[in-house]
Amino acid sequence: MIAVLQTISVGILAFFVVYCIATWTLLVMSLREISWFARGQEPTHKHPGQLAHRPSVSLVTPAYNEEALIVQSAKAFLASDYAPLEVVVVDDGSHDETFARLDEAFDLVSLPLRGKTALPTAPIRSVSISRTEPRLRVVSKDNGGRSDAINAGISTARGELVVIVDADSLLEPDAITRSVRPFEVHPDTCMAAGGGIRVANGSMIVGGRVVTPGVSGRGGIGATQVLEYLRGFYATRIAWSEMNGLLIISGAFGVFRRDLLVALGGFSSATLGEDMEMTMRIHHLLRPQWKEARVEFVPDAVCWTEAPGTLGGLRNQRVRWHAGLLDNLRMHWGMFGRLRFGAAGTFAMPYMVLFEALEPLVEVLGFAIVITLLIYNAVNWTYLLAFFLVALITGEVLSTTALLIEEVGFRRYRAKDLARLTAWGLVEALWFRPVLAWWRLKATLLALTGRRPGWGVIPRGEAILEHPSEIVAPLTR
Amino acid sequence: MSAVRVLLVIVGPLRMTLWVLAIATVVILFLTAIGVSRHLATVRADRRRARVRAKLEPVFSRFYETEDRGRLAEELHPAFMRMDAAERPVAAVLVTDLMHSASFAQKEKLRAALEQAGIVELGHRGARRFSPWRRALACEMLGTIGSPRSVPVLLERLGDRRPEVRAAAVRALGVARAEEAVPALTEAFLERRVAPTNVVNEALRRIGGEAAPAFELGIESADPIVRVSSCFGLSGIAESHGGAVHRLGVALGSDQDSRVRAAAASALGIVGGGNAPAELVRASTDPAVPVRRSAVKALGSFDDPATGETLDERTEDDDREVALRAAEALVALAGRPRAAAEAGARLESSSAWAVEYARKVAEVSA
Repeated sequence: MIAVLQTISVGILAFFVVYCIATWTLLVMSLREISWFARGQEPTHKHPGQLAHRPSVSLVTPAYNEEALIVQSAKAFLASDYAPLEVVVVDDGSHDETFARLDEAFDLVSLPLRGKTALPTAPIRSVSISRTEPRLRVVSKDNGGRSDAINAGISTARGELVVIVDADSLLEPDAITRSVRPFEVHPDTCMAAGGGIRVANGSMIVGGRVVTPGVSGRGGIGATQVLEYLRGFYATRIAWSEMNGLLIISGAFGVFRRDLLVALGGFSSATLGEDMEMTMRIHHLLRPQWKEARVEFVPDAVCWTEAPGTLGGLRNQRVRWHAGLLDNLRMHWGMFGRLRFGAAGTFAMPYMVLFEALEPLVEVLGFAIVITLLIYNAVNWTYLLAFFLVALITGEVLSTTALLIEEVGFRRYRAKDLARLTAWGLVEALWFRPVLAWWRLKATLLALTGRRPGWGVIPRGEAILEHPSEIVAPLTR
Repeated sequence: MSAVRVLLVIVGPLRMTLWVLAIATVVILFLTAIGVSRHLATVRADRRRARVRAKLEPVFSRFYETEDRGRLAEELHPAFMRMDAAERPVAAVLVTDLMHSASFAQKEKLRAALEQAGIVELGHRGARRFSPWRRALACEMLGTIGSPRSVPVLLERLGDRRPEVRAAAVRALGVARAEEAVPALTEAFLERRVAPTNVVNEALRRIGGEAAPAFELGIESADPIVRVSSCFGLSGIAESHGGAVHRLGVALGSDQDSRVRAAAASALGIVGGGNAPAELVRASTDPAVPVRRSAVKALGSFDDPATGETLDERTEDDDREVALRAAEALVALAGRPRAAAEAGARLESSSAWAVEYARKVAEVSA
C-alpha cells in the first residue's frame, strides 16, 4: 500500500508541475500582450476606433436588500462618462427599503406595465422612471434570485448593449467607455466583453469612487485575495481572451449584446455560476457555426468590488463559486476537447477541468497521503521537504509574474502595497491554498450528493444553432 | 554499494530540489528586476515628459501668438534634433495632442512649420523602427500632421507584420484624409485582412465622398459583414455622395441577409430627412424581427406624415421592441414640422400600451 501511495504522490507532483507550466505559459502570454497595452496608455491612444455613432448601453444592476448603498450606487453609475446610457436598477423583492430609498432620491413615476416581457421572470410589480434623472429606470419585482433579476432588467432595458454590474460594485467613470471598445472595433463579431475586477478592501473610497487603491493591512485575507484577483483577471484572462477562449465574464462587470441575451434565453437560474454559464453558452451555441464570434476581456475597464473580509464569508463565496463551476462544466461538457469550439474547447475547457475542478481533489489527496504515510512512519522527508519548497517557490513565481503584469500594465498600487502582496504571496501556499482546496472539495461533495440548487439544463437557445449570426442585429456605428 | 544507493535516494531529490529552487529563484529575481526597472523607467519617462514639455510648450505657445511660421520651424528643428531616441516619442505625443486640440487654421500653420522643421521626416523614420509601438505612434503622429508626403510611408505600413501598426496606419490615413489611399483602403475593406473592418470603414468615412466607390463595391460583396459595414459607411458619406440613400434603399429591398437589411434600415435612419424611402416603409413589415426593429426606429428620423399610419400599426406588433420603437418614432414625429399633426392625432387616438409607455417616458424626460 505504501508503494501505491508513494506512486500516487509522484503523480501529484507531476500534476503540480503541469499546472505550473500551463499557468506560467498563460502568464507569459499575458505579459507579452500587456506590454503592448501599456504602450497604448500614451495620451494620444485614448480614443482609438471610436464609432461615429456609439451603441446605446443599458446598465443593469440587480439589488436585494441594498438600502444602505443603492442610491449612492445608482448615482455613481449615472455619473459614468459614457453616452447614450440608461441605468436599470432591479429591486429583486427586497425586504428592506431599497425601493423606497430610490423613490425618495429620484422621484420615481410608474410606467404602464403590459405585454409579454422579452424574458420570463418572477412577476414584475412595477417599472418606474425618474423625474429628476430620466436615464434611470427602476424595476420592482418578486424575489427570484440574481439571474431572474438580471433577466427582468434585460427585458426592461432598451440599449443595444447591456452592462451587468453588481449594486455594491464601484465602476470607474470610464469603465463603460473602455468595456465597449471591443464592440466598436469589432461590431459584427464581438458578442460579449468582461471588465477587470479589483478588490476594493483597503482602498480609499469617496462618493462611490475608489480614489486611492490600496491593500488591506489587516490579516491576510484581503491582501491574498488582491493577489488572487490579479492572477485570475489580469494574468490569465488576458491570455484566454487573446486566444478567444475566455470561459468566464464576471457577473460583477460584463457587457453583452442585448438581443443575443434575449435569443439565448437570458441568464440561467439553474446554476450558481450564471455569469460563467452565459459565457460558456455563447461559445457552445455560437462558435461551431460562427467561428468569428468573440468574447473579449478588457483589462483597463475596471470595477472595484468588496471581497469577503472574513473566513466565513470567503468560505460561502468559494463554495458557491466552485459548485457553479462544476455545474457549468457539466452543462457544457460537450465542448471539452472539441476543435470546433476553438480555444474554448481545446484549451480552456481542459484547463478548467484539470486545474480548477479537479485541483482541490488532487490537493486534498496529497495532504491525505502525507498524513497516511506519517501514520505508517513511511514518509520520505527529503521528498516531502523538496516538494514543499518547490510548491512554495513556484507559487511565488506565479505571484511575481502577476505583480509584474500589474506594474507593467496598470501601476495602480504603491510600492509598499506591492511589497505587502509579495510577502503574502510567499505564505499563501501555507494557509490560503489548503483552506481553499478544502472548501472546494466540500463544494464538490455537495454537488455530487445533489445538496445544492438543482442540476440545471441549458436554457432555450438551441433553436438559434442554424444561423447564429443572424440573431444579432448590427450595432449602430 | 547499498549505502551509496541510500545516499542517492536522499541526495537525488534534494539535488533536484536545489536545482528547481535555484531556477525558480533566478526567475523571481529576474521578474522582480524587470518590475523594478520598469517602475524606474516609468518614473524616468514622467520626468522626461515634463522636460520635453518644458522645452516645446514655450515654442508652441509663441507660435500661436505669431504668424511667423519660419521662426517656429527654426526653433523646433534644433529642439527636436537635440532630443534623444527616448525623448522623441514623448515629443511625438505632444505634437499629436497639440494637433488634436488645434483649430483648422492653427493646424495648417503647425503642419507647415513641422514639415519645415524636419519633424515629418523624423516621423517617417519612426514608422520604420524596430519597436512596433513606436511604429504605431509614428503612424499616428504622421496621420495627425497630415502631410501628403507621409502617405506613401503610411501605405507601406499597411503591410506591417503587427496588426496594431496596420490599424494605426489605417487610422492615420483616415485622419490625414488621404484620398490617394482610397484604392489601398478599399482593398483592405473588402478583404478584411489588414485591419478590423470597422477601423477601415472609419478611415474611409473620414476621407468622405471620394471613398464612395469602396462602399459601393462593399455593398455588393459576398461577405455579409462587409455589406453591413458598407451600409453604415454609405450613411456616413451620404451628405457628399448623392447616391447613398438610393443604394441603401436597394440593399434594404433586395438583400437576402437580414443583418444587411437591418443595417441598411438603421443607416437610412442615420441619414434621415424629409420623405421616408418606400423600401423603409415596406421594411417595417419585414418577416425578420431585427429588420422591423431597425426600420420603425429609422422612420422616426424622417419628417414624413405618410409614415404615421405605418408606425401606428406597428405599435401593436407582436414583438415588444418593435412596438416600443414604433411608439417612440411616433413621439419623435410629433415634434417635427410636417409630420406633427398626423403623428399627434395618431398618438391621441391610440390605445396601444407601447404608445402610453413612450408618451410617459417623453413627458418625464421633457
